[in-house]
This record gives sequence, C-alpha cells and structure tokens, in this order.
Amino acid sequence: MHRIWMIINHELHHYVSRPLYLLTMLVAPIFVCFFFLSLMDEGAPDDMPIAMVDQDCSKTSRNLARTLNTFKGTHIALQAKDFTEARRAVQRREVYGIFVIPENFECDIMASRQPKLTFYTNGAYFIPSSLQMSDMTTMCVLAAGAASRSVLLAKGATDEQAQALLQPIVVDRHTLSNHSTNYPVYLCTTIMPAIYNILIMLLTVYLLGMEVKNGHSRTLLEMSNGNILLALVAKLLPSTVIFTLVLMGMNSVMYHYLGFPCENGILRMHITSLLLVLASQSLSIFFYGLLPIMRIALSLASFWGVMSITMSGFTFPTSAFPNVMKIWPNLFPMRHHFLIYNDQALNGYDLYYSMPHIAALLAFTLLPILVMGRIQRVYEEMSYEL
Amino acid sequence: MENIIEKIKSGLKVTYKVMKKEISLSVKDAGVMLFFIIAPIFYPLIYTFLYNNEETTDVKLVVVDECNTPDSRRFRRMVDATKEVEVVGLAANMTEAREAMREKSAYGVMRIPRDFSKKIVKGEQTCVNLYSDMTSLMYYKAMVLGITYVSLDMNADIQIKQLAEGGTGRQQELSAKPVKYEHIQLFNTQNGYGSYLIPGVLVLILQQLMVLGVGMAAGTNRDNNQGKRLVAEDDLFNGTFRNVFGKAIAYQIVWTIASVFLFIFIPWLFELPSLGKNTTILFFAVPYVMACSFFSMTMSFIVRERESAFLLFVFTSIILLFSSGISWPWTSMNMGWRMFAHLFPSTFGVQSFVSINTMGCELGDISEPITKLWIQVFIYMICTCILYKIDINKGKKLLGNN
Repeated sequence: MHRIWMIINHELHHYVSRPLYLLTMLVAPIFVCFFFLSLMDEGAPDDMPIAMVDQDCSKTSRNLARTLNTFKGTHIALQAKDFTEARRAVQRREVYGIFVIPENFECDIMASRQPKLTFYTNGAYFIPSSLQMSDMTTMCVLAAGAASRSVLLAKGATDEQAQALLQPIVVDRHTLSNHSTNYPVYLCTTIMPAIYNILIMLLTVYLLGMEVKNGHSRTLLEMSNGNILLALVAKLLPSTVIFTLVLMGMNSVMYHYLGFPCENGILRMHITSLLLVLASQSLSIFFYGLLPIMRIALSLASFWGVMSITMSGFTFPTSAFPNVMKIWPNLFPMRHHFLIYNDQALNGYDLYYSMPHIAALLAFTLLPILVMGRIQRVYEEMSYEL
Repeated sequence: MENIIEKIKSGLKVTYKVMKKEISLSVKDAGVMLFFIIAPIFYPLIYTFLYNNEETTDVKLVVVDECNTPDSRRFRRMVDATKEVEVVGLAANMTEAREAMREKSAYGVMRIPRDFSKKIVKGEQTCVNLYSDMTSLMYYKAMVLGITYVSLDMNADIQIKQLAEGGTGRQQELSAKPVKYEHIQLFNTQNGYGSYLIPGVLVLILQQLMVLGVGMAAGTNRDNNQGKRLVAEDDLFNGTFRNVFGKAIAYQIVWTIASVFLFIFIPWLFELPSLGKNTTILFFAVPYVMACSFFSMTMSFIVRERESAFLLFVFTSIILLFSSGISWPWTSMNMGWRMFAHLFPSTFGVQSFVSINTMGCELGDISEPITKLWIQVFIYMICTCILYKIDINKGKKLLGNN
C-alpha cells in the first residue's frame, strides 16, 4: 500500500512539472466542449443563405418569397436577376441554394397552365443542402396546395374532401427520441468524448514511454518491488481518475445542464465513461507492449483514436461500410460507448440490451495481461529508441 | 558588383545545403518518414475505402400491418422495393415491433392503420405511421425518403382513379396539381457522403501530417540540442533566412508531390467528383502547401520534445474540420469562431479545394480564399523568421558562454 502511494505521489508531481499535462488533460477537453457546444447552440443551423430568382415579380411570387424567408433554415440573401448570377453566387459560396420562380407564374396558375417551380441545392455541403431541400420542398407543397385548394373549394368540395383528394395518404413521422432532431444531441454526445478519447489513448502511451525515455523505469520497478502489474496500475491510476472525472464533467454539462435526453439517468452514463477510460487505457497499454518504441505506439494510438470517430458510426452508419470492414468497429471502445449511449441515454432501453457492449468494454481491460512480460523487459533494459 | 553576386551565390549554396539536409531527414528519420511518406498514402486510402458506399441503403424496417388488405400489402411491398428501405419482417403489434428495435434487428417501425383501405375507398385522407430510431440521422432520412416516395406514387394512382369520375383526366390533374416543382442537386448530384466529406479530409490531412512531421523533427532537435533549443548547432551560422527558406523549399518539394497524389490521384482512383482542372488545383496547392509549411514551422516552436507533437496536434483535426465550414455551415458560425478559423490554412484550403474539385470553380471564383492563403503565407513566414532569429541568437550566446 505504501508503495502504491509512493508511485502515485511521484506521478502527481510529474503532472504538475510540465504545462503539457495540464494542457492536454484539462484545458483541451474544456476547449473542445466550449467549441462544439457554442458552435451548435442554435440546435440546427438557421438562416442559411439562398438566392431567389424571381422572374415573375407578381404579388403571388413576392408572397411566396416572403413565406420562404420566414422558414427557420432559409434566408434569401440575394435577389438574382437570372440563374447564371445565382449559380455564380453558389460557386463563390455566398449562397447554398437557388429558388427559381418562372416568368408568368401568377398568370399561369390562373389560366391552369401548370407552371413549374425549380429549386437547386449544393450537394458539396451536406447539412445545408439537406435542410434547404426540405424547406424548399415544403414551400412548393404549400404553394401547390394553396392554389389547388382554392380551386377545389370553389367547385364545392369540403375542406376534408379537398385535403383527401390532394394527398390521399400522408406519412406521419414519429421520432422515438430527440424529437426536435437537435444537432448537438446527435453530434456532441459522441464527438466530444471521442476527441477526449484520442487524448486518453495518446497520454497513456506517452506516460508509459516517458518512463523509459527519462530513464526512470528501473526506479519505478524498484518502487513496486519488481511487480510490473502493481507498477503500471499505480502509475496510471491518477490519470484514470482525472480522465473519468473530465468525462463525467462533460456528461453533467450535456445531460444535466443542457438537458440532452438521458432516459435512464446520468449515473449510467458516468459508469459508461469509466468503462470507456478503462478500455481505452488498457488498449493503449497493449499497443505500447506490442510496439515498445514510443513514436510507433503513439502513431498507432493516434490512428485508433482518430478512426474511432468514423468507426463509432454516429455520422455514417457502420452498416454502410464495405463488407470486409463491418466487424472492425467492434475493436474500437468508442463504438461500444456510442451503442451504450444510444440504448441508455437516448432510447432508455433496459440494461439487458447493453450487456454485450459492457462486456466488450470490460474485455478490453484484459488485453494488458498479454504484454505484461514484454513491458517488464523493456522497463528493465530501459533502451529508448528514436 | 561581383561581391554581391558572390554573396547571393554563397547564400543559395547554404540554402541548398539546408534543403538537402531536411529532405534526407525525412527519409532517414523513420518517425518523420511516417508522416511525410507513409501516412499521406495510407490515411486517404482507408477513409475513401470506408465511405465508398456513399449512402445508407436497405435500412431495416418492421411493419405492423393492422389493415392487411391488398392495398396495404401493396404499400409494404413497394416500400420493401425501394433502394432506401428493406422490410425485415412483420410484427403482430407495436409491442413486438418495439422489441425488434430494442434487439437492433430493425431501426424503424411502419404501422399501417386498420382503416387504411376503407378510408381510401371512401375518399378520405388516411395515414401511414413511421416510428424511427434516432440513433442515426442517416437511417431516419432514408426511411422518411423511402416511405414518402411510395406514398407519392400511390397518391398519384388514387387521384387518377378518383378524379376519373368527373371531367377529363387532364382537367382533374390540373386541379389536383396546379403547380409543378422540381428539385435539382447542383454538384455531388448523388448526395454521396464520401463525395462530400473526403475532399475536405484530404486537404486537412496534408496540413495535419505536416504539422506533426515538422513538429516531431523540431522536438528531436530540442532533445539533442543544448538548452532545449530548436536550431541545430551546425546550422547556427547559416543565417536565419537561409535556415528558414532552405527548410521551406524542402517541404514545398516533398509536399507538392504529395498534393498531386492527394488532390488528383485519390479522387481519380475512387471516382470522387473531380470537376477541377489540374492547373487550377496546382494554383491552389502551391500557396496551400506554402502556408502549411510556414504554419508548421511556427507551430513547431510549442513542441518541447520529440513525442509531444502527437499530444498537441492530433486531437485538433476534428475541430479544424468543423472550422472549415464543410459540415457545420460557415454562415451559421458566429463571428468569434470564424475569426478563430482564419488562423489555420486548412480553413481556406478546404474551402478552395471543395470549390475547385466538387463545384468546378475557376480561379476567379475562389480568389477570396486563395488571397487569404497568401496572406497566411506572408504572416506565418514572418512569425517563423522571428522565432528562428530568437532561437539562433540564444544558441550563439550559449556557444559563446562555453
């Protein structure tokens, strides 16, 4: 017990000796939270600019433009005189979409000549194009609906009959959670822990490697009486505590302060955070044991950490990966964190359904056993390679 | 006069010497080589490979068909036939369907109500309910699209049947649809996820690997030099400009070659959108690489030892991707974050390259980001020179003291 305290004490002194640790353990995650939460504080991006090409300039077309402008996601930033001008504005990234009202639009409606509205979105920018497409489609449906309704009503149809004739089958959408399709709920809950997870993995490898580089590893083994397991547990324990506390802080900000959905209570997310830290640190120990040259182990940890964001499948679902890549996501602790979050926080399912992923995170903690002997040898030899 | 020519000659000679040393370093130092040669090949390949399917197809859906008539069966068959959705099974009721979702054998439930057919026949409006899991917006979008297409198809059929009862078909069509509309996607017309994300990632990878590589080399120098300084003792008397420009030219050569691979070869290999002319890409790549190399040299001053470059730079990649405005729209970012984004070459690099490559822009359309890149070149060049000057002076003092 006394030995453990000695190592922990030594480790804490090491942390405060360099600004690097303060910067990566505490300042970086706070900045990451601040960045993503303030970037997306509107929930969904609003007032994204479009160009309006109104070739009709009638009362109806102006009305249409005014209505479109009141949509949350859309803002008419440019009244273009023709399509070419509008397209050039798209290419200069001044607007994301174009809405074209043809000449004689009003007259053609009156005369039943079926005029056509056309709208363009820029697929190079995914979020604006998706949101503006939905805004402008709604606008067209509204415009068509209003016009035909007045005709049908004039012919003596009741309101319900007109509605049924215009749209016999409606699709009624129910989102089972995150009802307002709020972007921060969907992005921040995974991207913020995932970025910190990169730092967790890198710092763990770094702490292990610095023992050798500083020529301190033999002393560490002496302090633990030659017991490598005790040495590593005591050495990494302070970092495990710090990482877990930081992630719990993130959880509190998101689920408690900002009120993101957390159906089964915040405690389960806190425990998931602890499991993530243990799994990621174990994986990092495994990497270092496998490739005890610090920069190679760090490269591998960087790769694993950065790929976690793709592999967790929170933006692009893993089911759309090529077949040979479909089992790979399971080798990333972040993937399991994401799936547990889905079940426990977002959907509020019973713990039973998350068991496989909890078991997977725990399985990661067994990895270091495979490389203990190797790390002991490296620590005894104490040879630092560039 | 001859004196000046001699001076220029010797200046160029020293610059050349520094350049050669830097290039040979990127081959000899296995750590630096990883960033300069291996990673630029490996990362783009794996990312592009992962996203190569571009979109989510056949999202799993269970159906609760309370109606069970030819109409409802036709509706669910048509949903199954869409590219977006696959009907994996029928559930007797909602409880059973929710259980299928909990077990992840389906991501959504479509419920067709009992009076579905009855209402259609009576000419009343009916509805189809979609209950969607919100774990992925892409699943949700695919399910909404698939079912909406089918409902529109069936609506058209029903309208024609009902309307045929009075007047000619054309007259009735006009009263049901007085206005037509059409959506056209400009650029990335398939709305592919890889085609949208990969061009930005390619540009970002260049900057990040360069910052890591240059940072690591700087850290190694600090480990080896007296007083934890950056510039090696052999190079102290080369002069500030010769040191800085010798290195910059070396990076320019290595990374311009890499940028041909990243910006021309990879999009070609994976059939990503590549509307840009190769000359336009070059006009963008030269200032981008230059801005990145001076940016990397400036940033390398915060790297105090070989391995800490990893800790300082790797995690910033995702922040920089968001700052570039490729995923979260630039117009929805507040002024503070837009200013922050101006610090990094990647911001304008991503904006220019997406414009050239995905949107087929000419130089005239992207003059704004390109100009900003050149301003960054200039500013970071001055920063680098100042920092090198300070470091070299410190080194000379240390040498003098010994």
